[in-house]
Amino acid sequence: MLVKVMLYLVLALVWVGLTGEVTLPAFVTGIIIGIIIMKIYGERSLRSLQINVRHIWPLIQLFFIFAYELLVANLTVLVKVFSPKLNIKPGIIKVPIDIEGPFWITTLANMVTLTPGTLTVEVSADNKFFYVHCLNIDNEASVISSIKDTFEKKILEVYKP
Amino acid sequence: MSLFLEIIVSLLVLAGTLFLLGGAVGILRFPDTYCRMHALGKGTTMGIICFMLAAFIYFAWSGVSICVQSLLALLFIAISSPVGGHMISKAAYHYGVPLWKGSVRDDLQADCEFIREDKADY
Repeated sequence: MLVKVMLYLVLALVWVGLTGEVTLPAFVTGIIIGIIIMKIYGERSLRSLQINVRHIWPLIQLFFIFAYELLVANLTVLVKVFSPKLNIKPGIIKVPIDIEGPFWITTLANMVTLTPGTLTVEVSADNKFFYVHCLNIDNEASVISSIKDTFEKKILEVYKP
Repeated sequence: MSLFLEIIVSLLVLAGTLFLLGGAVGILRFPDTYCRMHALGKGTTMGIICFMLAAFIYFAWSGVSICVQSLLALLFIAISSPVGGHMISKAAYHYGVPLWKGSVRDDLQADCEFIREDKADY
């Protein structure tokens, strides 16, 4: 219930932000539009998310870890791009994943795509493996552990506390 | 506008330019589609995030209400850009675009069910 109320508030704030007028009528309009959207899409997607209030703090932590890794990823790619000799050893490796649920798998795949030297190419049909394209495979174990120890651990913490 | 904020905005714009330049040079230098998606997906996302942050700080300081839109644009780009990178590389793999000849390994080849057979000349 609390999550639902917060979602209405967030949707209303997004509406206020998009229209660009910070007034009470705009806010009320935003809440009404939020209720309409939630009536159409909300119930089903909320069930598939399975989020409740105690997930919110780990989600914020996840966001900051993600921002840091994004910065590191960009610096590594920059160094690779501008190094005079192109020393890359690309390849696709198979990474087993433990998390379940479409929302969390999508989140993990997006995070893998935006982090140092990795790019999700394909998810296996039974949702058990990622096929990750790496820019530099020096040793396979370190690539796999960097995915599993930072993001997957954090995501597991978020949805199975 | 205070000098401190001006310096921060300038630094953000400079950093964004550097990341976007890195993305562009990466597209030219990297050998195959998948490596190029690395440079494109990460470099442009980070560049645009830097630009939008700079725009947010600048317009928030001058009191223009457009600043909230730039934060929202940042959020939506950060969500949608990796999906784009993933879909392009996935489509390329299923279409049969080969990996660079210097690639070390390819685990997907054994497990992938549909790859286009009649490979065009890339």
